[in-house]
Amino acid sequence: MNTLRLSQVRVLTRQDLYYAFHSTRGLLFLVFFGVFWLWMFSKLAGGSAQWLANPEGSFVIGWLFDPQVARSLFTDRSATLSAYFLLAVSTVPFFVLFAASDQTANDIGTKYLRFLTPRCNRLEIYVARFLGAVILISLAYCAVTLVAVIMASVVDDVNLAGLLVDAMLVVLSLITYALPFIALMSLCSVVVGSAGLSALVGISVYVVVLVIVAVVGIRMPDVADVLAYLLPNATKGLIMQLQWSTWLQALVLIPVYVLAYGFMGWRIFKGRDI
Amino acid sequence: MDQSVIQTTQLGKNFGPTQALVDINLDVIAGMTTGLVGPNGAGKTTLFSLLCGFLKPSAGSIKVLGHAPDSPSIRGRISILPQDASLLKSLPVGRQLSMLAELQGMNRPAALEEAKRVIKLVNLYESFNQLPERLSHGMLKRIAIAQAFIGSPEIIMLDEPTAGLDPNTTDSIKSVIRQLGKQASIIISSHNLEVIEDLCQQIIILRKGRLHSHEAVAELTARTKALTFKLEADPPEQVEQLFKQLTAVTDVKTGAPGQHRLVVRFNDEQDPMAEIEIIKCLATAGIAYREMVRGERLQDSVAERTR
Repeated sequence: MNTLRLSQVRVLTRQDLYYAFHSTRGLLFLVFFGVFWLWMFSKLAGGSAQWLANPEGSFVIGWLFDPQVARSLFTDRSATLSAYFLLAVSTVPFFVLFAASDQTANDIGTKYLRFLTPRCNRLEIYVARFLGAVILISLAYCAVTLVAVIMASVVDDVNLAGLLVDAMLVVLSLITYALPFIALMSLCSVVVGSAGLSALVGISVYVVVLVIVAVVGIRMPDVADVLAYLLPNATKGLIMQLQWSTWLQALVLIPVYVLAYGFMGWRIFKGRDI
Repeated sequence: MDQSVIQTTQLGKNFGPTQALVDINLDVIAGMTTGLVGPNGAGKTTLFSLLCGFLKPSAGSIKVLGHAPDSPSIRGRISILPQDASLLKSLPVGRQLSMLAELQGMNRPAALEEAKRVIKLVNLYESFNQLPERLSHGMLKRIAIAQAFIGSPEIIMLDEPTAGLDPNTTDSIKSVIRQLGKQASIIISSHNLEVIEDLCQQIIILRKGRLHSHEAVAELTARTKALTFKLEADPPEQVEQLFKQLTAVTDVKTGAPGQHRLVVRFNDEQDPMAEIEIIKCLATAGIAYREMVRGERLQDSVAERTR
């Protein structure tokens, strides 16, 4: 029987976060994430994102993503913040696969879980590791969004209150978009015994389904549209519009993904030898 | 009636087509220190892992303190020293012990104090702030033992608690286990039968995945009448020829080269003076011994049974 004691989940989550900020792997993620965004911000610092608000830039964005996205992001909004948002959404899968790959995997491999299981049950461990990954990734995106907001307030000629509201929507959208990926990694990390392998499994699953969808889409586009819902990025279209209404629509879909991936992972973790 | 702390009923575990454990029925009595022994491949670690809830049984059931091994009712009431589990890297060992204590329901200051208490028990207080990767294998083993002593568990399960430790540390760990044995039921899985003989009142012997016996250590070692000699040198070849005239002698065994050991089994129903006759026989042959004990070492008894 597995009951969920919040006190245990709280302690385990705190430990997981503490470990993330002290372990080589956690620090590696943070450094890699930080360096990537430092580089990106150095490109955006000169106000180069403002070009995307021009008709030519909007055309490119419309061609790359969706004309509706181009209109929504670059009309009456900070171009720098919008460019940051586009980059962030596009790189979420990569960073989440990296940051959330070691929820339980390494501890299964090193048998560290054997120190935990006499003190707390597997459900508490599973949930706490998921929450730990969610908080780590949320903190990381909060930090870089803050930098983006500061930069946008300096570079772009925008209303500060509007910028802050947009920034809040950006952060919420990024975290919301990341949740299914973190849940997918919860599933991947219970089937293997190392973080690297877990990331590899996550990438493989993602790519394989993507290829299947693409191949099926050639002959049967309707079926491909349905199959595409297997992927954790199914809400990307809604998220990228950066509107409260579309974000709320995405918010309704997200729990389905989190629960589906999470439940599959839990079923495996509950029954597996550790 | 003795209260049992662990019960297994027709317990079995398969790894693919391999049957690691078959039909194990056990009843471990409260307040006893029980040894779990058997040769390699007998299923000791598998049984231990099943009792701890690390592995899921393929057949049968386990009750620990009246509950399933993964029941929340037993969290914090049992503690475990897993044999091959590693501590987290990059985190000081004191911090890790403190984290584990917090999971047993202690608040942060109490958990920190508890971590200090248990690390002192294994004489490693100076390593409290050290990272695991800076510690030797033996020190890590002692830290792992320390985590099993956190709180006031009712059952302590120790898998190979003295493996990889030097004799002095082994003695100090044995002394801590002996002390804890007064407050908790302890189960020790080990290849080191001297440790089992020294610490355990009960012994569970596994052989080829089946329960061979579960009995009192004293009963096991006293059942066969024997004299065990520690000689000055290895016994001569054909040493059994010395005793061939003694009808009471039923078997003669020698230790491995370098052990200088000789075990003479006898049946004193035929000859009440058999012990004296055996000693005389050795003196006549000019074989000197440093030490003689009545009975057989546990190691010999177990080896005999699991052969």
